[in-house]
Amino acid sequence: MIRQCLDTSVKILLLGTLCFACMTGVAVASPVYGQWTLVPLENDGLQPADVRMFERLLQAELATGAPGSSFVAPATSTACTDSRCAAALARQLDVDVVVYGTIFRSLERIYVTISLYDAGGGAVRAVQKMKIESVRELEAVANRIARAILTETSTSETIELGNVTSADSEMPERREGSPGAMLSVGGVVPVGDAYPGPRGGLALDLGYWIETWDFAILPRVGARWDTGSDNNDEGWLEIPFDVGAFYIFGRKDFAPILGGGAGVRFVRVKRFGAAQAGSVIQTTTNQKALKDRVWGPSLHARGGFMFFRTYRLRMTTTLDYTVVFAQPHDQGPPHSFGFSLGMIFGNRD
Amino acid sequence: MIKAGYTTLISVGILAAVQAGCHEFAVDCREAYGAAPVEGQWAIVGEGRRSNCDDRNFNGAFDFSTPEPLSVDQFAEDETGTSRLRLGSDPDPGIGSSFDLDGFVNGICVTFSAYERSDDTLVNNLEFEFHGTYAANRIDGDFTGIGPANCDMDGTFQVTIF
Repeated sequence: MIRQCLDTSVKILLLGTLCFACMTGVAVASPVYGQWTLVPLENDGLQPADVRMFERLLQAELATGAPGSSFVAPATSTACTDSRCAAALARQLDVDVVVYGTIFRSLERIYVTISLYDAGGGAVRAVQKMKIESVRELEAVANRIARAILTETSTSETIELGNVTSADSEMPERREGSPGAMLSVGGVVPVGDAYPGPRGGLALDLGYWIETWDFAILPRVGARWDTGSDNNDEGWLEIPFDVGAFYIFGRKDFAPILGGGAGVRFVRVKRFGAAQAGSVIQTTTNQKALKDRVWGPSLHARGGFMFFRTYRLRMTTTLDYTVVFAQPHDQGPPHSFGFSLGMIFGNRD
Repeated sequence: MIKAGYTTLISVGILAAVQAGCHEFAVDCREAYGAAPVEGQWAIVGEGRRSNCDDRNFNGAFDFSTPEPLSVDQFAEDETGTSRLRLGSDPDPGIGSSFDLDGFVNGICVTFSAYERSDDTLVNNLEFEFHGTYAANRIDGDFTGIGPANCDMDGTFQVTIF
């Protein structure tokens, strides 16, 4: 008997809890139906056309999410910035809901704040905020804010949607880099005896930096040459044609990069010496500058840092090691260390 | 009559001078010997210039020598008084290469050719044509040739026989 009473009590308690949860859920998630109006947003720093586009997108998202509602034109071009203005407008237009807000640009960011005023309740039911970096993201902002507004019912439950750049950094659109011409200057330190003459050289490269989400590809052409010496009979010149691929460890303004590449190189060396030929009768020229020109495949490894990745003008500083599979004057293969400072001229918008 | 005598005298003088001048450059190979005795170990040295080389590094002045003496045999004179020359033993030009020398002696005049060829590269292909005269265990003269890298070459040489 006691056990039956306990079972019945538990069942009633569970049923009551379930009903309460259902009622609460309906109350919380239920959208507001009726007459709506979307007040022109207060705009500071954005193109009016972009803001109008955002307003249309937001209205469309709201209308889609609240199919029983209808929108009334606000009959004013003046923005509302607080609930008092929204309440007055609701009375004037005899609408149930007033959507108003602000959108402004500050430095590199765009801040969007959208509020929903419920005329029936006489209170602001939701305030949603987002910050983004580009007007291209306004479509996503409209969608997310509309969904947030339609699923929330109280300002006490207002959520901070946050920074799209950081919160949505996993979105492919945000990780996509931009291509651009790359110019780099640097130095070369030959290793071994394949490069005659001076032990140092200069490097100048021109390439096209193709930056993907986490990788970059760099086809390039350039020149390396000795820095000169008193002896004009010795020296070298190297022309690379290669392609490099790099992994970019980060998507912010400072990112290490590491990679390598392959290609072909033209190597010309000038070496002071004598040209010999013959074995049984050996012939030897007088000492003079001997020249040799070779082509060969090349490999290089390269690592360094990328700066200002989120800007139009990006910079890199790298170290590399290169080997050319060739034998100028039967010596080689030529290999060298190098360092460079590069600038990438790209368009990020 | 006197005028004709002068004319004849001048003409004879000019002819004599021309003959004498030519005699400076023309060698009478048979003037003193039969075939000169040149058999033995030859050490060849020389110097000259090369031009028109496929590899420009070989253009310009050069010298040459035989690091190891060449053993040269001389055969008996034939009915024309000429004796032939052949290598007595084959030198070692290295793997993939060959060397040969042959020629003849006519009095004190010695003419011989030397060829060195390599299967690996044209750079080591050499062809010499030597023309010299013998005197006191030496042969001095001029040479022309081709190589390496299809160079044209010419110059002077000296063979010491021991």
